[in-house]
Amino acid sequence: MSHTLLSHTKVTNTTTTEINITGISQSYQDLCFWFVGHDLRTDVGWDSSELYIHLDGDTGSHYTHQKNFTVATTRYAGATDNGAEFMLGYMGNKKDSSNCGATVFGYIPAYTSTANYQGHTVYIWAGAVGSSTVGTSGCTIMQYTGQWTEETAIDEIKLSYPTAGSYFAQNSTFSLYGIENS
Amino acid sequence: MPTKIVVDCAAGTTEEVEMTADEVAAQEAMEARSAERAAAEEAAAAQHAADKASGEAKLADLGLSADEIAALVG
Repeated sequence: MSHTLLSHTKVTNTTTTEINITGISQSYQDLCFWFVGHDLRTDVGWDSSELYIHLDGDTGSHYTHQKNFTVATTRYAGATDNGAEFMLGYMGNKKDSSNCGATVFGYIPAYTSTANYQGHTVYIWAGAVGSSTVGTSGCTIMQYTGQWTEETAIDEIKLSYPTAGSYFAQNSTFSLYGIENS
Repeated sequence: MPTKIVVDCAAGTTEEVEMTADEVAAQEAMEARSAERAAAEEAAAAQHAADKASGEAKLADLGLSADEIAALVG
């Protein structure tokens, strides 16, 4: 298995709410991506920031997911059928200067396929940790399986913090890799 | 006005542009749906916690020790 870096984006402003990767090469077997960063807000709890993912610019009701996650020591589960986005909650911000950073890893098998049963599956592992040494403490971890129910090839991935006043922190990064399995 | 970074991998370009009013409105709609979903998840977790506490209390009433209850419910 080899990884080829397709794009690496670093946020430099304090007004950015979307990172939209377009024109993704169709020459690989799978895609994987890393997001490392957080929301700039300081006025909501460290676990209140929600990161959204859209594929191919689609905002229709084609996103179904199942997730298990833990916030501090409380376990939660969530699921949405036919939502309009993949929503990852609890993805870090700057409450009490905590600089609670989030890390999101995603894997999309067979992203070019147009004949997948019920569309494309996106596997996500995510977490966010704040330390009491720098502010409000807390942590979350999440396992997430998303199903985008469109049988079209994926050539665009968009991340966003959609909440009003929610922006990507400077130096947040998003990296996209093409995977070759042979 | 919020901005978005648009990367075109095919062209090898990156630009940051202001979002349109329509895009901002679409984000606001997403935010509303998100709040509803988060509230539902938190309500479900709170109900689960209450059910767990109630069940543990009933086990204690049957004479199980705290350690025995912990071993059973994890």
